Amino acid sequence: MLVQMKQIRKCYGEGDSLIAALDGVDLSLDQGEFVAIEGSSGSGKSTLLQILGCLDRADSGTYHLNERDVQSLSGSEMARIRNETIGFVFQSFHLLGDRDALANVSLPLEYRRSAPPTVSPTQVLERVGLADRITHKPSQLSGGERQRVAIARALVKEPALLLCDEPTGNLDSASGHQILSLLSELREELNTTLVLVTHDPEVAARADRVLSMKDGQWI
Amino acid sequence: MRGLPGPIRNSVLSIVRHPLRSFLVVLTFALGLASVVAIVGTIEGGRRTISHDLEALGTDLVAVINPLKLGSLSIGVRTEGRPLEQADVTSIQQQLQGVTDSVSPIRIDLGLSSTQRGTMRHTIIATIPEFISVLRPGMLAGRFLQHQDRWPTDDSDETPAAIDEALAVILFGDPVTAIGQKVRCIRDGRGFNARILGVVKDPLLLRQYMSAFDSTSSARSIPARRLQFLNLYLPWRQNQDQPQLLLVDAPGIDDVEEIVVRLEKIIAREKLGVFLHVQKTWTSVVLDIIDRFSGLGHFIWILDLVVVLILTGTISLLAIDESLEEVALRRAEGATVLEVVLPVLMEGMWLSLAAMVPGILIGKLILQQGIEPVLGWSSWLPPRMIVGTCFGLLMTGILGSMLPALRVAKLDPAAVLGGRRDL
Repeated sequence: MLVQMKQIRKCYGEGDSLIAALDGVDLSLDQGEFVAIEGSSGSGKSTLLQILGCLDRADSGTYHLNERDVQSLSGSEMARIRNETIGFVFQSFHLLGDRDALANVSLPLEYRRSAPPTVSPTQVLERVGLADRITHKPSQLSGGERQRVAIARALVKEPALLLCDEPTGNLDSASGHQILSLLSELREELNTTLVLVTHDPEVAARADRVLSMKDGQWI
Repeated sequence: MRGLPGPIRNSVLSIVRHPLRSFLVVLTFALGLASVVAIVGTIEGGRRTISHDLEALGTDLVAVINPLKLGSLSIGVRTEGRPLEQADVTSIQQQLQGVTDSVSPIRIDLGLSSTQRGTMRHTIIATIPEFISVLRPGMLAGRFLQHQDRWPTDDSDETPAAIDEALAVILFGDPVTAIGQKVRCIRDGRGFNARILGVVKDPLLLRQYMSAFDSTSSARSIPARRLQFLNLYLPWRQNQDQPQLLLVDAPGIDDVEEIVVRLEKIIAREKLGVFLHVQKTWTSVVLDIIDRFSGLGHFIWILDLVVVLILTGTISLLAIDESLEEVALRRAEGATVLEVVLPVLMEGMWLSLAAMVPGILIGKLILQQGIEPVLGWSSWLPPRMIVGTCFGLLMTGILGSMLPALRVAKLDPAAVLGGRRDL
């Protein structure tokens, strides 16, 4: 079991304006599993993804990742987990505009504290089909290519858990299909656990398991 | 660049990638440092010049002054009693024999001297040859009055005299050519001829700045001439000249206290009504006032650095807003808080370091081209002040980065990357 979450609760605001973004959520993920989380805007799926990705902490509940109790980790230990175990793909790509594709993909390796990964940034870029775009800056790439760079940046860490927050949300239909196919292929190749947040049922249908969320709870 | 530790590399890259912003910050630092250098250089230079001038006047001198005022400046507190007379001079000379370099009676008159170059009103000082001990080495060209130099019995003969350099310039043009020259003088309503034996150099060395002083003084309605030494020195006439002042020259500054104690006893015993002026005390009072002025200067330059701090802090704070997404991404990819904060602090540090040499050079240029010609004294930057100012600027650079660094430290990467950017 890669991920084991029990009774995760996360609230924002205080007093009368207190809102429970997650309200007692349980989640278990196996290694290599492809899970889609769907739900409307504000349902809590992105909050769950942030807690899964160690970008945020739950107010209560337990979260074990690779059998480590994430809730008890320090800030720098969580940073290390983000660097070595978790890959992120965002809807808005979040590429550094003044750096080329290779520099963007190399970014996580700047903070690598353990042994370097077995694949190089160049090899990962070649794998996502951008061998001829290595020196291109984001402004010189199409939307689909930018998302490929973002995927390469996530995969260069060889993560056990790949978290994608609406990765096709900013892409046209054709590019979106290509990105989803690429993610599926890579998940099988690398045996990575893939969690994909979407509100598109067609995208969710590609997953092994689909979880729906509303008002911070599974439905 | 790849071999550098992450925070150093990222801070340098941030500077290189934002050349205009970096240039503006360096310019702000450099101009701030330049103004600090100009303020400190002016104050320290003035302090040093005034100290030097005061010391040049002789801190080891004690004057016993007959009741009179010099200009508008009253000197000391007058004791009750009779005025100083010639017999007192001889008595004091005998009582202080061996503990002083000289005890010289002085008579001061306003006089008039004429040469072919013109006529000049000035002071005439009658004193004894021992007065030479007051003059520092190198202050005399030719020779001073000696015991064989006396007033002639025949009025048509020449009286031996020494002359101050500034007066020699006015009367003869070149002070070097004054030696051996004759000058027609009037003192106390009586005319006589004087022959110049020696030229006394200006102890304050003000003359080299006189043109600047003239313009500055005129602008402030201060008679520039009062800053010059314009004396003609004549032999003392025993039994004729009455001492207006007795100048006691101590061997060293540490001997002044003992001499003052002895003089006070003599004054009390003889019931003399005089002013006792101790140059060392007066100098220390003036230097104390200047030190207070220096303190004010330090306050001004600290205020200057605070303004630089606010300016660069504002620039950095605005700049960090542009970089928040990158910071959030770095945090998501595994950077610790320290790893994103350090480059921000280091960037401020590098930029302040880069501004140091240009800042000092601009400051020195302002001093040399703008301030020195107007004020008329040489600026001076004590090494400890340069080091202190540079350290202050370095701290300003780091402090100016503190707010942006704090912003980075408190950044919630999830909020920024998830689009919930309410900062």
